This record gives sequence, structure tokens and C-alpha cells, in this order.
Amino acid sequence: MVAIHEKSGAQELPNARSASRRPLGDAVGQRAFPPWANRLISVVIVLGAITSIAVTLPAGWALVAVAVLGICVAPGMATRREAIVTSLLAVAVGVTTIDYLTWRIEVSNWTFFGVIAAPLLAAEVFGALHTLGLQYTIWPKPPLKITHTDDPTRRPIFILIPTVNEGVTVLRPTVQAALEARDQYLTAFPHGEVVIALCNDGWVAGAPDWRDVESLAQRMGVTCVTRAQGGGAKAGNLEYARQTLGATGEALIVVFDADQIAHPDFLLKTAPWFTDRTIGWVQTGQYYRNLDQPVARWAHDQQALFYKVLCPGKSAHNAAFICGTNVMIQAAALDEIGGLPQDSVTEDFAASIRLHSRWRSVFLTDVLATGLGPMDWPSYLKQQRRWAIGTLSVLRVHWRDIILPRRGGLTLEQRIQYALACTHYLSGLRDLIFIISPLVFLATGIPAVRAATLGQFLWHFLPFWIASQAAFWYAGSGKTGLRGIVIGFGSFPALIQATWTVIFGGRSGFMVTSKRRASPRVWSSLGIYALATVACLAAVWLGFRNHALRSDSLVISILWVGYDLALLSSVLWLGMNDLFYREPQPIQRRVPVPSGARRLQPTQMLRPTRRLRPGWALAAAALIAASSSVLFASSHLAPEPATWSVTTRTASSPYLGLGLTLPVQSLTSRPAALESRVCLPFSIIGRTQTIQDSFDFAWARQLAAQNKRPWITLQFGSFNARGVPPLDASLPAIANGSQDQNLQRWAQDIHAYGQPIFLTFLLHVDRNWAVSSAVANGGIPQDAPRAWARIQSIFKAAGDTNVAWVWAPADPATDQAYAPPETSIDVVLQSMIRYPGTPWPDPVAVLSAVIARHPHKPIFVEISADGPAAEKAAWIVRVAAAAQSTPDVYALFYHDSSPDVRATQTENRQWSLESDPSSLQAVRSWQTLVQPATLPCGATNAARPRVTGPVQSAVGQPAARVPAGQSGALTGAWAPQIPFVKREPLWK
Amino acid sequence: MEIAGVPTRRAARPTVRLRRSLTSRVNASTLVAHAPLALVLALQAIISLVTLNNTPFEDEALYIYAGRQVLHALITQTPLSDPFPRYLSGSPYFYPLLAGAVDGWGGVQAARALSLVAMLVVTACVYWIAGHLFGRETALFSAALYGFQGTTLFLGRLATYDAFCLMFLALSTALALRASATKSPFLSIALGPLLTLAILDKYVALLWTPSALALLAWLTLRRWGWRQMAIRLDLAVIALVLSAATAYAALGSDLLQSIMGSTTNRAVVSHAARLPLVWEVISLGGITLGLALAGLLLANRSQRVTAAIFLASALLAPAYHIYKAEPISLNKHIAYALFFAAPLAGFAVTCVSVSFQRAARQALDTAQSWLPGLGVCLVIFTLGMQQANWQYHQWGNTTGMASVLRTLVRPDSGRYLAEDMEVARYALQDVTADWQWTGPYWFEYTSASGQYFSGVAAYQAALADGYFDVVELSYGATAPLDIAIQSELGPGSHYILVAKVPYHDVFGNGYYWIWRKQTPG
Repeated sequence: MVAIHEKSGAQELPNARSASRRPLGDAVGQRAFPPWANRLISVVIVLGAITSIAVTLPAGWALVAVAVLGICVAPGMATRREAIVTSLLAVAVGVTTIDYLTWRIEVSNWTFFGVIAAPLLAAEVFGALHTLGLQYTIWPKPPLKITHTDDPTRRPIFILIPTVNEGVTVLRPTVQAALEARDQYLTAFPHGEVVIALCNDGWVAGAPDWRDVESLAQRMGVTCVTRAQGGGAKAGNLEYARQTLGATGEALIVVFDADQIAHPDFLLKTAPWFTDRTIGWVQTGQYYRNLDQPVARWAHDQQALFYKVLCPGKSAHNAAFICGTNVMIQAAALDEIGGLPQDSVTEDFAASIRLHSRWRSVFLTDVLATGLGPMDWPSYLKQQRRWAIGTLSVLRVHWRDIILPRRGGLTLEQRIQYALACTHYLSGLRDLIFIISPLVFLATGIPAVRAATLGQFLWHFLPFWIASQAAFWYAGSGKTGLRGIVIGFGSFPALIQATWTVIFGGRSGFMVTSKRRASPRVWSSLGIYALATVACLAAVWLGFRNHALRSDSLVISILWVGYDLALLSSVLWLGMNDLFYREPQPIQRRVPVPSGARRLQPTQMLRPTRRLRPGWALAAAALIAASSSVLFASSHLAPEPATWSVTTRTASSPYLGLGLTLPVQSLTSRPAALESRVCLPFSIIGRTQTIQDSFDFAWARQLAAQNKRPWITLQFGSFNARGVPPLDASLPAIANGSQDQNLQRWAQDIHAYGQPIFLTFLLHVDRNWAVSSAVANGGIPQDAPRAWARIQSIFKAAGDTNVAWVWAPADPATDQAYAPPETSIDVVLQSMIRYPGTPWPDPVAVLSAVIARHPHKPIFVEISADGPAAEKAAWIVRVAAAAQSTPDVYALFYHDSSPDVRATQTENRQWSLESDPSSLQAVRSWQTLVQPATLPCGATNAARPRVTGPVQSAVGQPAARVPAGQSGALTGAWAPQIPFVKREPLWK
Repeated sequence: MEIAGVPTRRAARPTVRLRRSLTSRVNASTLVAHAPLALVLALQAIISLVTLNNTPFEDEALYIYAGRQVLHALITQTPLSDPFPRYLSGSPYFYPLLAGAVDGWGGVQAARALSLVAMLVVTACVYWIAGHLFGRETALFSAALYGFQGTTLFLGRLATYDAFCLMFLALSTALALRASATKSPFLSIALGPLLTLAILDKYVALLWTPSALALLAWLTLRRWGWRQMAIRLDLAVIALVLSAATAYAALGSDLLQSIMGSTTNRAVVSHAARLPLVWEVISLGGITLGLALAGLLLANRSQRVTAAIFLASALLAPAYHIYKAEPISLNKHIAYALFFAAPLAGFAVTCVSVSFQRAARQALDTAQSWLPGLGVCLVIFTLGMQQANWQYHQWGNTTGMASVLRTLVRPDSGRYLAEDMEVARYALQDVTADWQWTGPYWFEYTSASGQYFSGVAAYQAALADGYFDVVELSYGATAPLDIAIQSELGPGSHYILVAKVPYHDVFGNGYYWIWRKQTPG
């Protein structure tokens, strides 16, 4: 209820008590600036704030700042919690709106002459302005000041009930309620005078039962004024009755639509306001009572937003306009403008604009009358269309009064309120643009914004959205609900139609909202929503298929379309409910005819049977957003399948125990195939990877299951096209920790693997062709041991004890300048690569040299050759014999492809051990080096070829040195034992 | 019949309970009363931590590195490799030592966290001072106006002397007010050591030492009279002299030389026109200084002298910079000015709010009286955030540059010329030593033939000889030198360009150019 505060000193200051508690003025002196100074300061601060926000774009921080500063500052200076929260939320909305709109304009995509951007931006600005307008409307204002100058109870009251074709069934309870209200009033004020008149326009409208109205009036003892000459629709009817009854001058006029049942207190609560002669009218809300009907139920929430939230605010601005029914008006005010305007379908609204410059208005939030809401969806759309045409027409006619200030005209506050009211029905266009925009983007890929990331969008939009939603729900809490928003959105076709009608002309006569349900069912009214829904789904499908769309924009659009779909499906759901609705009982039985027992009770708003809580609304929105995001993420943002990738270089030069190069695709299948072909068991399978690759658990575990050991050579990068290695592959980089992160990852993975493994780093560090070279690209020999130590320290820190470190310079026999301490080396690799046209390396000499340099170190011998078949076969046999006769050799490998990473398939074939039958046969001769039981094809000693040649005789006494119990594990390894099999630390 | 002692005990228990209850109630209400300050401090901290992120500024790198060197020298009893006391603007044995120690534990972020804590203390001091002088509403406005200033936020994320110096100054000022209000004069003794700490931290604190003493003197005079004023002022001055003498004895004659060289007799390196300096003062603190002036005008007669001392103290730093045409560190020193201006600015905002409250009461309007305060704070907040961001990104991110240098440098061998030497040296302190680095500001070189060079010629000669193993230039503050020596880095020189690392700062885009000495192979 609005409290009446009088100027005569009976005013109650809501903060008086707290003001006495907080002697702020005492602390800072008793100065109060003159009003003009206060106004100037206000303007400066507001302009300063707007400018600073627009310039700095604080985005989400603005919301945080308003919240924190508001919580800090406001309670110390005001006492009404509701007022503080409302105004704080309004400030938050204002601040975030300025931020969002400024940012939004900055990032608009003006290509194609803004064909896509401009309408969307206009719609967003329109929406934002109305959001701000709502906050401006509900901003806490002081209560209305009333001056006692008159006794209104001594003035005659005329209750006018205009009717056309509603029928006596609808009219009877209305008249009955009016009679009760009159009785209640006259009981309180016996000297009062109340005339109830039915303003019958049935004859003019050609209604078949117009005489029944006269009969009803006669039976119920009220006046009936039947108009014989048409014109002016409802306004004409009322004006005719007014003149006929002499309801002019001092009289007070009450208007009830035919279905509006007054509360007994109606006159008691409205008439006293006219004690102040400047009050032109007292408007009350228009609430529905047929809440069991789906459309009326949802429309009720929409109405409640207007009557419970907006109208009280408008009243505080002295801008509450006449709503056509449930209103008490001073006849003198109407006299002044020559009666209700008859050239508008919203005569009430038009009259208000003309009256408001001289008369003040009051809005009462009490439910003092209830009526019938739209009976079905077509009726609702028709009602919305009529209201939209009316208000937009008023804008067309009265735009000067609203926009242009003039002396004696509307105040600024009133003009703002009327502008908001008049333009409200353009929201149909706004909603259409909001539906179409994301669809256009998804279909065409042309964005409305550019140079903005999803994060930026969310950082600017979410605060605006959160603030406006919080402000809305706080203001509408317990008054309206999500249904009101949905049905408001659903009215967009009618509003667009109305806008079209107003702009381009068309039939727009006064149409009474039907008080009966349409029959048969009208499916066509839902067609537009179904069409929009299909369009949205199609656009989503297109969006997912269009991989050229930026993922940021796609996420925003999908979320947006998801929101639209939620609204559209809600409208469709309402429409379906309406179509299949069956009235459980006649309407009149549910009419709450006032009883004497309720007369003195405070009036209450009718409670809907079910309420949709904001919490549910938020949860639904979150669900929609989450599901959209998941849908999107699952299709677009999900990472590629987690396959480890190896570089080209890796693919072209993996190592294989006892020979062979394999492409990475056949890394797992090739060894078995070769084993059967050469009838040799491979105990160690090697490969090369870059440090950026992942450790291939599957491959390593497969080897472990086959009792084989992996040997990985890790390179710190690859040469670029110009043959330059990456900077972080340099030895100083490794030594200084640039690769620590990668190394740690490998160390952790290998620790997790847990099985013995050979690792090689700094391959051929003593040569300028190495990626990590100690003689090129800024590297110096002293860098090698530092880098080696750094690598090992990281593996040690990770707790790796299953690694055997393979030191692999190009020439291990002369690596003194580069080599790390011997104690940090587990195995030394000796490569023997024979290029065409070069001498065949002497394996005995080479091995002798390396053993001399690295005494007592296990040796890996890796060979590869390209040359005449006979020579190659002989050399392979010689190498095997040398290895067999050298106790320090741990394993023998054949590098089964060209050393050149860019080699062709033919070249690789020439380097392969299968390059010719002789070479293949030579490799088969290695069967003598392993225990017969381990041979994969079961060859016997007798059947096996022998390793023959001069080397064997030179070295002499070949002997299998396979330790007991390790035959399967270390096939081909006849060298000293490395304790990794026992999982003992290799660190010396 | 009563048993002796029992009634007494029975009576005593409720009394104790009552007292406890009263105490807890008082504590709770005190906490609630000051909860807004906690919110302001929390927001100040959150903004600083979340919005201000960058690699170390050269000053940060210098001070922290110096601190770690000093710490190392103290532990190992070895001399410093660099004469830090000669050119730093505060004692290297104080803040740098602390920052270096913290850096060793948590890196530059930990050192910055120290600064943030210091600036939060300063904001709390503003709150206390304003509350002490003008009341709680003023205190809150003042704290908000100060806490969200760009320069305040900036200093809270900068590991330099300033935050700690300001903290000691703020504590000194608060102590001066407190000492003038207490009955006992001895609290004023604590003013001396506090001011000494502020001065040791950064010598520029000398500028505001008279302010604290003047506040003590004036407020004591007003409250207790001439005699008490003389006693308290004497006690404070004697304590100050004794603490300063102790510091001098501990740090030696270097201290005086440092103060003169870096502060009192400082040679202005880069003169700036005065008008831009005025504009910078206005843009960084104009609103608050203007409000402070309004606060002075609005103050009661009894508060006017106090307000004048505050305003005069606030104007000291800007006036000094404008007078000396010295742009360096002006943005940081504005924070000192605003510390003194904030209580008066808060007072002015409170006066406006009260005026609105009165007008609102007359209009039966209760919701708007706090809006002016909120509006002003919001303006300060938005501008402050942007200014802090701007200041914090005046230098480019050096992560990429340091990463590249890390691939090129070696411990204990190699010499490196870096335009961003402080940052590079700090970032690679785990790998390189101080002596390996050469900066762009001064260099002397004797060639293999024994010829001596200095300045630009020295750089050119050294590069011609291949003296440096790595060279980093960014064409920033020392662009003229870079241009002069770049011919020695071109084709045919000893050097090869190995990386161009892009960076972006508020002035635009640029590159860190990095050359390596060519090696055979």
C-alpha cells in the first residue's frame, strides 16, 4: 500500500531513527550545500562515472566494485534495506550496461555496411535502454505528498461499466460487486452518493442480447445507458454515458470493464486520495482471476510485472497512466480535455498524456478488482496487438509531447516514462532480431562482432546480464515469474504485426478481448513458433557442420540459440496446453464474489495455483547453457584423440635390436615378422623420438610382455627447413634447464613404466650434424657433460632407477673432450656406418679402440651398410664374429635404413639387411650367437649357419655368455650383465 | 544460614560471565564496524593480484638481485661484486635484503606479495587516520579513495622500496596522531625509529619526516598545550637522531654518500618539460588532490591547520618533481602524495554525502545520500584500475627473451651485453654470475692492443673484438646506443642474429634482438 504522507508535519521519515543514531553531520560539520550545488555535484559525479566507465571498460570489475563499495558505503547512510538493495542493483545495472554497450559498439563488425551488425546492435541498445528504464522506474522515491484541501466523500461517484457483447453472465457478478462496493462506501460515508451505470453499447455493436443488459440493470437496480449512435468505441460509450448522467464537474468517475469484479473496499481506498484537488486519477491493477486457464495464468505474471513492479514506480514519478479500467478519475480532468479521446484504441493512455501536465496520478498496488484474462492464445495475441497498436499510435501522434520539452508540458520524468511505455511494444522487433541474428551467423559465418574472444564477451556481457537479472528478480520477487517473460517473448509476432500496422497503416479498430474460448482449436497461431524452432535447430546443425566458424563465436551462438530454443519451446508448450485445455467448471463458479467477512481485510493479490520460482528459472537456464556447452564441446572443442605423435625424423630412423629400420607404423608388427624371417630373437627394440613426443606406454609394455627391452634415443628437436636446429636444443639450453619441463615429463612417465629401459641423449654430440652439438650452433665441448648431468639429475629426482644410460657420440674412441664422467655412463654405443664408396670399417679395430677408451663398459654395436651384396654379407659376418669375440659387446644392432633422414624408399631398401639374399643369409648366421632354445624358428645347431671368416679366427673363442635365467630376456646379449633386470639402481 | 565464601563465589561467577560476554560482544561489534575496511582491503588485494601480471620490472630485478647478492655477501663474508650502496635510492641492507630473502623462497611473486601487504597496511593507516580526524564514514571513503588509486595498486604489485617506505611513513603518521592523543608522552619516542626505518628503506622519506613531526607538534599543542608539545617533539626528535646515528654507525659513510647521490643531490638524468609533469600529476592524482583541497576548505576552523599540514605534505612530492623537472619515479611518488591527500578527500566526499542526506531527508528520500560517495569511489576505482594496468605494462614481458638467453649463456664463462640487463641478470641468476653482465649505461674497454675506450666507443670496440658472447638489444630507453652499435652486429661481424623475440607494452610492439657470437662448425 502507498502510505499517505502529509505536508502538515505528520510525515514519517523512515530513516529518522537511524539518523539519530548516526550523528554523521556532527562529525563533518553542519554544512548542507544549496540545492543547485547538490544538483551540480550529482551531474558532475554521474557524468564522471559514465565517462570513466566508458573509457576504462572495467567489465566484471565494475560489478564487483559496485557490490563491495555499495555494501561498505550504503548501510552507513540509509536504513531501508529494500531501498538500498534496489538502488544498489540499479547502479550495478547502470554501470554494467554502460560498460557492455561501449564494448559492444567497439567490437561491432561493420563490414557489409553493418547489415548484420547494425540491427543486432540496435536491438541490444533498445533492450539495454529498457533495462535501464526499468531500473529508473523502480528507483526508490519518496512517497507521494498529499495536501488536504477537500472532502472527496461529498462528491458524487459514478461507477461506469461499459459493455458491448460480453453478456449478462459476465456482467452480473461485476454489477453485484459494484453494488457491494457502493454499500461498503455508503456505510462508511452515509452522506455519499454513488451511481452505478451500465454503459450499454450492444445496440450500436449489433449484439443480439443487448436488451438483456437493460433487463439485468433493471433487475439489479442500477442505471443502464444504452447508446443509440455509434462512434468512439469504448471512449465514445463512456463519454456518452458521462454526459447523459451528468457525471461532470465535481463528480468522480469509476470505470470497470464488464468482467472486472470490484473488491468491496474499492471506493473506500480510492476516493480518499481526491482530498488533494491536484490528483487527477487513482489507478489500480488489472489482475486476472481465471488462473486455471494456461494462457491467463501466464499472462497474469506478465500483468503482475506491469502492475506490481512498474506502475508503483511510475506513480512515484507522477507518471502512472490511466489503464482503462479499475480506475477513479476526476470528471473535471476529463472535462478539461473534452472527455476521453475517441481517436485512439488506447483512449486511456492518450488521455493520460494530455492530462499529466496538469494533474497528478496515483497508483495503488492493492488488488481492488479482478477480471478475466485472455481465454486462449489467439485472444492473448489479439489483446497484445491492440495494446501495441494503441500505444505505438499514441507515440506517433504525441511524440512531440513526449520527446520535446515545453513549458507547461510533461516533466522530464513523465516524458521518460511515457517514452518507455510507448516504445515497449517495439520489443517484438527486438525479439525477432535476437532470434534471427545467431541463425544468420551460423548459416553464413558472418559475425556481428569481430576482434573479440569468448572470454572478453563473457567478461563484459555476464556482469551486465547478472546485474540486470538480479535487479529484475529482486524487484519482481513474489510478484512475477518466468512465465511472464516467456509469454511476453511469445507475443512478438503480434507486436511485429502491430508495428507494421502503425507504420504502414492497416485495420486497427477497437476489439474487445474475447471472454470466451475460441472453437475449434486454432493450430495456426503456433505455426510461427514451430517454424522458428525448426530454423534454430537447422542453424545449430549448420553451425556444427561449418568448421570454418571460430569456436568462440560458435559457442556464443549456440548458447544464444539454446536460449531462444528454450523460450520458443516454452511458448509451444504453453500453446499446446492451451489447445488441449478443458474447462473443468463454469467460470462464474470461480468468481470470488466479495463477502461481508472479507470486507475489512487487506486486499491481497490472487495467488496462482503453481508458481515457477526464479531458482528453477536459473537452474533451467544453467541446464540449457550447460547442455549446449557439452553438446558443443563434445563435437568441436574436444581434443583430438590422444594418440602420441612422432616426427618424420623419428619415423624414418627408429632402431631395432639386431638390425633393421622400421617405419613407425610397423614398429609393433615388423620385429615379429623379421624375427621369423631371419630366425633371430630381438631382445632390444630401438626407436628415436623427440623430447616433445610422449612416452609410448603401449609399445614399451608390449615389448616388456615379450621379454624385450625398449631403447629410446631422445632428440631435443628437429632441424628446420634451413637446417638450423631450435635454440632450446642447444647444449647450454639443456644444461641451463630450458628442457627441464619436457625432461621431467619423460622422467615421470618412465618412472611410471617401471620396467628396464635404455635411454640415449645427445646422440653424436661430437659432430656438427647433431641437433644438440658440442661443436656447432654455439655449442662447445664443455657443454656436453653439463647437459648430460642436467638430464640425469632430472631423472634421478623423479626416482628413475630403471634406466640404463647409453652414451652415444659418433666416435666414442676419442670422446674425451665431450664425455661425461664414466660413472654416469651405463652403456657406450659404437656405430659403424658404411657409406657406398667408402672403406668397410674394421670391426675389430673399432671395437678395440672403444674398449680402450671405455674399459669395462658394456658396448652397443650398431651397424648399417650400403654396398655390393657379397661385400656387405661378408662384412656383416665379420662384425658378428668380432662382437662374438669381444666380451664387452652387450648387443648387436642393425640399423635397417639409410642414415639420411630424407632417404627414399629405394635408398632405404639398399641399406636394409634384406637388400640382397646374401646379406639376409649373413644376418641369419647370427643364430650362432644366441642360445638355440631362444631361436624363434627352432633351428638346431647343426642346421644353423656358422659365423665364419678371418675375424673369427683372429678373435677366437666365441662363447655364449647368456646368464642363467636370462636367456629369454637378453637374447643376443652375451655381454657383461647389467643389473637392470634385477631392477637395481643403475646409478653408480 | 550462609556458608562463608559460597555466596561470594556464586556472585562472582555471573560477573565474570557477564564481562566475558560483554567483551565478546564488543569485539564482535568492533569487527562488524570495521568489516567495510576488510572488504576494501580484500578488493584492493584481489584487483592487484588478478589484474596486474607481468614479468619483473628492471627496478624490481635490480633490487631483488641486489638483495640476494647482499645476502650472499653477508653469509659468505665476501665483498659485494657490485657497489649497490653507491647508486641505489635506499639502503641495500634493508628492503633489498628482505626482498632477496623472500625471492629465494618464493620468487618475485613472493617479493611482490610483501609490497601488497605493505600497501594494504598503508590503506588501513589511511582508514585509521581519517577516522581519527573526521569519523568513520570519512575513514571508509578515504580508504576506498586511496586503496583503488592506480598508483596504489601499482605499488602493491611492485617489489621496490616504495611500498615499504610508504608503509613506515603511514605508520609514522598514524603514530604521530596517536602519540598526540595519549596522556603519556612516551609513545612519541617510537616515532624516531619508525621514521628512520622509512628513510633507510628509501631516502626520499626524508621529505615527509617534517610532516610527521609537525602533526605531532600541532595536534599535541591543540590538545595538551605548549609544554607537552615541547616534550613530545623533543622525545621524537631525539629518538630520530639516535636511531639515525645507530644506522650510520652500522652502515658507515656509504649511507650519507648514498643519500646525497641518489636523493638530495641527485643529478636529474632526463629532464622533462614541467607542463607534462603537471598533467601527469593531475591525471594520476588530480581528482583526489582536488577533493583534498575541497576538504581543506570544508574543514572546521579547528581542523583547518591539521588539514593544511596534510595537504601541504600531499603537494610536496609533485612540487619537488615539477620544480626539478624530474619525471623518474613521479608515478610512484604520487602514491605518497595521495596518502596524505586521501583523508581530506574522504572528508570532502563525506561532506557531500551529508549534504545529500540532509536534502534527501527534506524530500523524504532515503536512498540517494550515499550515491555521491559511491560515484566518486567508482570513478577512482575504474580510473585506478586502468592507470595501474597502464603503469604495469610499461615494460614488455621478458619471458621469451629470458628463455632465449637461457639457451645461450654458460656459468662462469662468457660475457653478455644486454640492454635489459637487470631483468636478464635476475632471470638467469641461477646460471650466470654478476660479472658476466654488461648493461647499456656505462662501459669501459681496453682492446687487445691496449687501447682504452669508454662509452659508445667502448661498446663498439668490444663488439668488433667479439668480446661479448651474447648481445641483447630492445631499442628501448637506450635506443641511440643500440643504433650506434648495431653495425658491429651485422653481416661480416662476429655475431649472428639467433632470435627476434616479440613483445608488447603500452607503447606498442617491439622485439628483443638477440645475437650470439659465431662459432666454427
